[in-house]
Amino acid sequence: MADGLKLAYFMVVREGASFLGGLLLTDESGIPLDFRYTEPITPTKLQSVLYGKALESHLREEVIQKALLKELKGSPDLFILPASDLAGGWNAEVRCPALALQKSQEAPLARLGEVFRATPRELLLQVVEGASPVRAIFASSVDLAAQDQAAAQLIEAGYHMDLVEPLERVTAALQTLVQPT
Amino acid sequence: MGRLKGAVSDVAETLRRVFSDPPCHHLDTALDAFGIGSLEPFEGRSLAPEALCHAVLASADLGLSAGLGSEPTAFQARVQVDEAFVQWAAGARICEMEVFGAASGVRSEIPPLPRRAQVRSSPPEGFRGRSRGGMASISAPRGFRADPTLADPRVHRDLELALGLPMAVPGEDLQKLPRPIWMRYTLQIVKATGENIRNLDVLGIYRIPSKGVTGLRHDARSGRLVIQLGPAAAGARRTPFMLARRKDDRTIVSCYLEGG
Repeated sequence: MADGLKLAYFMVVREGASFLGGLLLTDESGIPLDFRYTEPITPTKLQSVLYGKALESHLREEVIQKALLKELKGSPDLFILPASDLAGGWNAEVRCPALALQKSQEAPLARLGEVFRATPRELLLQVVEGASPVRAIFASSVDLAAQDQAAAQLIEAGYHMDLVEPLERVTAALQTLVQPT
Repeated sequence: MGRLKGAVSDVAETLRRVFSDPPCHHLDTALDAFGIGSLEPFEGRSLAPEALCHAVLASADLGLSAGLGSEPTAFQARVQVDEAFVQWAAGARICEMEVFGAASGVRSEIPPLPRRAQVRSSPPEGFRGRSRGGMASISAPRGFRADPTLADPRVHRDLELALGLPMAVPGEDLQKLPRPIWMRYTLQIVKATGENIRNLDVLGIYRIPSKGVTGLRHDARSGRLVIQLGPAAAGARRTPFMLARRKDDRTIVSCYLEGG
């Protein structure tokens, strides 16, 4: 088991014209160690016009993510975010490797713990025996060596936890916060 | 005959020539030269009076003082000339006409432009503009600044909220457990529950916090244990947790392993 491994799960939800971000830090078993969330950010009409299409990515990468990481207690080893965020071109500066995790529909790999490189930025990880492998998509800033190291850490953590599930928890927590009581 | 014929021929020829050529007369086309003359200037002459009276006192030459009585006065005629009129008449030239003559041709040239403009060292005077003090200037418009930067949001911490959310914990692979460890684990659940091991179906072994677990549920389909945690679970040690089901009444029994 990867001793002291800390995984940061980052999620931004949009509620109307407001954006709300959350960051969940878990241990290698998926147990929450810290959870931070931002107050809803509502860009003004002028800001929406001036930022245009870059507004949402700027909010995610520069405003929300930086504010959450600054307040987080402890530094994560891996920064995990939704694949949709990564597909949009993740350019934020994070000290640890940034990646997205997805449950794939691929056929299981031959043995538990096997890693298959699909593309230079995409790995298939067999974390549960007999199940479909987990797809790990890395940010463009993560080099191959860092990807291999992250894959090993994920394999170890996947033995004790569902690697994808904490992201759903962050979403649920944020929706709880924005819903009127 | 021959001479006569020749003479007649000559005469005929002579007549033919005389009458064939038109008479030519000399015509003098030259213009008469006009004389150059001058007009006598008009001269005004004054009519001077031939005689002007000149009064002379006819007094006795004896040097006697004259009295108040009126003395007899005689007027003696004397010729006087007023020269001013003469000079005026002589000097006045009323009109003098210029006589036309051949003008002397003079070649005129356009002066070249200076190759280099001269620079005046001193500013020209008299061209200084004066501003009118009373003219109201157009004031600059007011500028407004709209800050487009998105301020950093306030960040809150709510670990309790995150712990309270249901969390799925996958079970460990029982087949890969070493047999001595498996036997130790089963012994522990027998001791903890007092149940016969033959009456138990082990559902799984899960690593969950040793304290702070507020709720748990077994997902039979995925084989996972869904737990909910309380604040006490933060930082708690992870301990193996065995979940089993009685065969007779299908109730769930569980216990922490390894002294958890």
